[in-house]
This record gives sequence, structure tokens and C-alpha cells, in this order.
Amino acid sequence: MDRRLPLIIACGGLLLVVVAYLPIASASWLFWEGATDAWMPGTPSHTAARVLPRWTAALTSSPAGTQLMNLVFHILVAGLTSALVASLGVGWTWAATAGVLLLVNPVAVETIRHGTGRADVLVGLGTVGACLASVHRRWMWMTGGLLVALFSKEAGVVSLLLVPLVVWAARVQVSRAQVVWYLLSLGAVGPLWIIHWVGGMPLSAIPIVESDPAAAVVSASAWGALQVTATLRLLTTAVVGTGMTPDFDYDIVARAWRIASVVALVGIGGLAWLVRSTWPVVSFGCVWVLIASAPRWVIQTPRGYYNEHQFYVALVGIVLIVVGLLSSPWTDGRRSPLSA
Amino acid sequence: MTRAWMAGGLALWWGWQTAQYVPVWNTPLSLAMHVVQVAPSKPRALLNYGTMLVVHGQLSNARTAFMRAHAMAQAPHVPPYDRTAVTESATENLRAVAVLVASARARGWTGVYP
Repeated sequence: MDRRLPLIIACGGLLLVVVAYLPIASASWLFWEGATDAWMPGTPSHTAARVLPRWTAALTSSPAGTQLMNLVFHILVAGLTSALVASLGVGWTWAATAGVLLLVNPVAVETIRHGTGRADVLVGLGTVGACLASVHRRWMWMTGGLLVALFSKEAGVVSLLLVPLVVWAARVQVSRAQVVWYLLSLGAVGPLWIIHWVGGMPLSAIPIVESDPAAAVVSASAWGALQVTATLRLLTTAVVGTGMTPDFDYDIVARAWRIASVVALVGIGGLAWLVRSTWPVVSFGCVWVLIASAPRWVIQTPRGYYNEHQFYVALVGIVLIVVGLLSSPWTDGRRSPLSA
Repeated sequence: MTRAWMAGGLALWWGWQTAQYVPVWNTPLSLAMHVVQVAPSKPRALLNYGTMLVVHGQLSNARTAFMRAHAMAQAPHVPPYDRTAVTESATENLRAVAVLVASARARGWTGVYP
């Protein structure tokens, strides 16, 4: 029974997610959808850098097909997350639970039900895949995952930080081959940067003034504070499971709350450091969320603040925190590579 | 065992919330309506909602949404760039709705507005 339990949990989660996403069958195109090019509005850099979302978008022509493909990628990410959690020594029962929790988290709905979410779910697929490959010292697969993340969305650069985090936290023995493969992935960032500069979208915390009237024009410090506030709101929403919306009114949030959010996020970072030995998976999950969100605090993007589909990669960290908290007493004396 | 039940309960709660939220994304109107419900004082959300109501022929409700968007855009918390854009768009849309209503009345249409 014990050996079958992870499989039963996984099947239950799959059933739950299929039932929950049944309305996909009657999906219609939403804002900024309906045409492949319209998925990436704005600067030409978007269309140039998001190669994989464009390729996969061409495979389906209906909204239901598009969203179904997003759901399939989401299930794959959940499967890889389960394998990653198991590789960290948590055990397959809790690893399967982690996958199910990622599958059914309501914050992932925006990623699946909107065309732009394709880029985010592919970044998730590449990032988690690269992390898993790193733990198992499959360097070529790691590079493949990193390239998937990098050529799906600009935010895929977080994968270049998360892979070393996993390697460091799980105490993977690094060989020269890994360094070479990692540097090869790093080399792919060069062309991406050039694409951005040519496309007129510099990666820095400066106001972007475009012809689009919806582009936010605020100072770098105001942007940073609001994005940190958004991160904390998304983190809370992902845990509590209510209050999801694609367009939260962050402008109405008082300055005191914005400062409190910055303090709270610094607190989460401190907590991650303090519990790194006693609750290693929780600590790892906290750092994952912070790294996955960090580019959003400094890179100003048009059309609004940090939203749920952009939070997709960070969602993996939320699941790690929850499973880390719940599973700790069940490690049965087995030492996790994280606490070695 | 307690924590196993907690994990199961959490999965069911999240699954339930997902099942509730998924249909919100069915149509642009249902999505715009949801956004306004969560952020009732956000001018741009009201503007989008009004536009979707026009598409669905609910001109009276659209006019209310545009008027509310116009009023909310003047609130002190709204950033200047948003205030300008929403005020201009809401004014234009209110004018367009007035033209649509007049045109419908001239044709003797009923039902698209109260």
C-alpha cells in the first residue's frame, strides 16, 4: 500500500485538476489573444526573445486547444516538481503531494487560461527540468532545460540563478563538465541581451515610455516598492487560495503597507537563513520564491505590476515551503541532501 | 497523520478555489466583471468592463461603468499617467455610447438599453 500511495495521490490530483479545468472546453479568446503575434504585444524584442511560445502557439488554432496545451505543460511541470522534491530526500509520498499541490493551486489558473501564460509555463518547465537534471548530474539535460527557459521568456534568466542554488543546496558534486555546460547556457544570454537592446527594451529599472498609454510611468524606487508589495500579495494569495485577479489595484495600497511589505520580504529572507538547518526544504522554498521574483523588483515592464502568470515559477517555491512544513516529521531519519 | 490530513485538506481547498476561478476566464465579459468585483475603485478595470458591456449591447450598464471610471480616475491615489489615459478614454466612450443609444432609438430598437 505504501509503495502505491504516491501513485494514488498523483492520480487523485490529476482527476481533481481535470475536473477543475473542464470549462476550458467552452473557452473563448480573451484580451490580447487570438493571433500568435498578438500574444506578445509591445516591443519587437518580445517576439524575438519568445521563440518557443511562438512555435508552440502555431500548433493550435482554437482557444480550447491553446489552453489545453498550457494545461498539459502545467501537468509536466508538476511531475518534474515531484521528481525534484523526491531528489531532495523528502520521500515519494510527499513529493507526489508537492506535484498535486502545484497542479491545483488557483494562482496557476491565469497561466493556463490566458495565451500569454504559455511563456511562463515553458519557463517553469525548463527551469524545474534543469534543476532536476542538475541534482542527477545530467549536465546536457540541464543545458537543454536552461535553453528552454531562456528562449521562452526574458524572465527565464532566473533559471540561471536557480540551478546553482539547487546544486549548492543539494551539495551536488560539480564537475568541470557541468561548468562547461552551464557556461554554454550562459552564453545564450548574450544574444538575448542583444535582441533586447535592438528591440529597444533595456533590462534596467528605468521608466519605459512607449506609445502604449497603459505603460506604467513611475520612478525606479516606487516601482520596486510596488513590485515587492505585489510579491507579498501573490505569496499570500497562493497560500490562502483566494483573492485571485489579473489586475489588482496596487495604486491604492498605502505607502505604509508598501514599506511593511519590503520589511516582510526581508524577514522571509532572514527566516530562510535561520531555518536552513532545521527546516531545509522550507528555507530552500523561501529562497526559490525570492530569486524567482527578484527580477520583477528591478526590471520595469509595461502594462501593470507583478501578476499571477508571472508568478508561475515562484509558485514552485510556495509548494516547496508548504511540503517542507508538512513533511518534516516524516523524513524517518533519512538525511535530506539539503541538511547534510 | 494529522499533517497528512492537512495536506489533503489543503489540496481539496485549492482545488475547490481553482474550480471556482477557472470559469471566470471563460469570456472577456466574465473576466472584466471579476476584475471590477475585486478592484471596484480601479479606473482602468472599470473602463475595460464598460467596453465589454458595449460589446454585449448593455449600453446603460456600460454608461454607468464609464461614468464610474471617469470619477474614479480623479481619485488622489491614481497615478497621473493612468488618470489622463482613463479620463480621455472614458469621455470618448461616453460620447460613443450616447451616439449608439441615439442610433438605436432612431431605429426603434428596444432591449439593448433600459
